[in-house]
Amino acid sequence: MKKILKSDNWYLKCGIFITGFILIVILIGQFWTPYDSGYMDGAARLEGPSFAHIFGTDNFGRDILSRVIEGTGTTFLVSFCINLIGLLAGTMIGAAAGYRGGLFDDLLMRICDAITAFPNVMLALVIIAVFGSGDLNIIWVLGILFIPSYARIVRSQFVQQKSCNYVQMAKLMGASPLRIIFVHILPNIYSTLLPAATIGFNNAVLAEASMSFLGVGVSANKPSLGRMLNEAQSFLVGGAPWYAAFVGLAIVLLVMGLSLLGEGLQKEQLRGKK
Amino acid sequence: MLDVKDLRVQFLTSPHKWAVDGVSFHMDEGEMIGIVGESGCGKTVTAMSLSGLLKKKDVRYEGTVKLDGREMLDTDRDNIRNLQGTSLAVVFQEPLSALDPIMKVGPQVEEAIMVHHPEISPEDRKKMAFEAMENSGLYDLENVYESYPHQLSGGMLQRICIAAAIISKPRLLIADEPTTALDVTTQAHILELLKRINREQGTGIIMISHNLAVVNALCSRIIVMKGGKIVEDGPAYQIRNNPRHEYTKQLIAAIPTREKKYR
Ligand SMILES: Nc1ncnc2c1ncn2[C@@H]1O[C@H](COP(=O)(O)OP(=O)(O)OP(=O)(O)O)[C@@H](O)[C@H]1O
Ligand SMILES: [Mg+2]
Repeated sequence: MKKILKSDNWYLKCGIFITGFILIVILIGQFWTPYDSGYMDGAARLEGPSFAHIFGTDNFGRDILSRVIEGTGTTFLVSFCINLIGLLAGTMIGAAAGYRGGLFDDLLMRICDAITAFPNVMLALVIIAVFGSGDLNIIWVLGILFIPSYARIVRSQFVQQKSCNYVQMAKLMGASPLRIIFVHILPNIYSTLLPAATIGFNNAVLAEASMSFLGVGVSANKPSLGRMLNEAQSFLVGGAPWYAAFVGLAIVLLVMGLSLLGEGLQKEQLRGKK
Repeated sequence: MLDVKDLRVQFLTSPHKWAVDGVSFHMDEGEMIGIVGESGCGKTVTAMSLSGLLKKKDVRYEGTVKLDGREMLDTDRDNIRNLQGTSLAVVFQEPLSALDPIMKVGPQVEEAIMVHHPEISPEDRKKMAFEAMENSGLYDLENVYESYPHQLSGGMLQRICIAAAIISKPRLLIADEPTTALDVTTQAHILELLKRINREQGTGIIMISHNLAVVNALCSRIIVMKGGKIVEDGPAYQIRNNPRHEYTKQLIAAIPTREKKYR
């Protein structure tokens, strides 16, 4: 921790600060928000920012700040799950393909290529149009669509590492492929994977927001940043521009924090290699 | 103990050339033999075939390699894996790259035990590691055990590699130019160490080097290779005093001696 405070890596510092701040707000939001995010105050519709409602109210008279806090939590959690699925499955597939090599590798990588050929959000929309948007469908669908990018990174690292002498040495000690993959190679590529995972998280946030903006996010009664932005757009001109502004600000902050974190980690890793 | 008959190895990437071209030799239990020859003559490839490190899909083999009567070339991966780290161990030229950069060296010494004897408790395993490290001439063991490879000197790292190799008391140790990356003083120490391991533990050692002087001082028997073939094989004194092959004579002439230096 001290090392981070002292370092001149401003990306990392700002990233940790912003993301940490958001995390704390989300955590507090789990137990307390200024108002109940579902409570509608008919007397106070589309009110501008005031002391009572710092971010103002929406068209049903709900407190926007409370909804933004909860929505950020939803978006964060959903993106986290999406990213986790992509990361875990992508790592397994990439490790197997890279370590094994040959036809097996080719096959897996071509499948990944095929998936990446389409934009994630578009493909997700098609799949959800076919299978319907259940509560958790979006998590699975986007999670699976996130697999190829991780698989590729992990694969290329494995191809590089498996010819290293230390891997040969472990083989000569009789270590099994599974042991070599998990005990020897994976820890060695951790420093490459971490920034990638952070940037992936960032993409997951954007994907989730886009999906719920298009109306196919998680269940409708939970506030989520994308869905709120969708609702806010009808009042952008005339009615209540601050609505969209505050929701947008939350998205920007979340994405900026994560991408700064990712950039920072990547810089730190490059520096470590020197 | 080790019986190599007419071993030929060909890389599929260069299909017209045998990297090892008909090598045969026999090695007795506890013997220490040296293999010398110029760069690219196939020493490493020979060693790698003996240790089962070459992949079937990269190379073509002919001939047989028998370790304790067991065929090494034709068995499947699992069988070889059972031999690796128990009957057979290898020490590489570059100690730093042979170790996992982000794992403490202590656990790396224990690797063979961890893999082949998972039933041994961590405490006992650590004891074995300490013993192997001590036998490899390391001291301040507690500290060294907790170090990462980049924190240790080349000589110490090579000792770690040797400790990792001898922890399971293998019957055959292959050392592929174990001292090339080290300075002269450290070289001498490591060579002494290998000699001692051979004498005290009865480990058969194949010492690969391009330096005839090194091998000569250490080994009772020397094999001279050239272009993938064995050109001479005999007791060290015979090779030194009475070389039969022209190439061996050249190698001997290449050893710097005091007279030459001061002439
Ligand atoms: N991976 C490989 N692919 C193709 N050919 C190879 C490969 N490794 C070695 N060879 C060939 O095998 C021959 C023997 O190489 P080897 O590494 O055994 O030499 P060496 O005697 O160990 O030399 P050095 O003293 O430099 O270590 C070389 O001529 C090389 O062309
Ligand atoms: Mg070599």
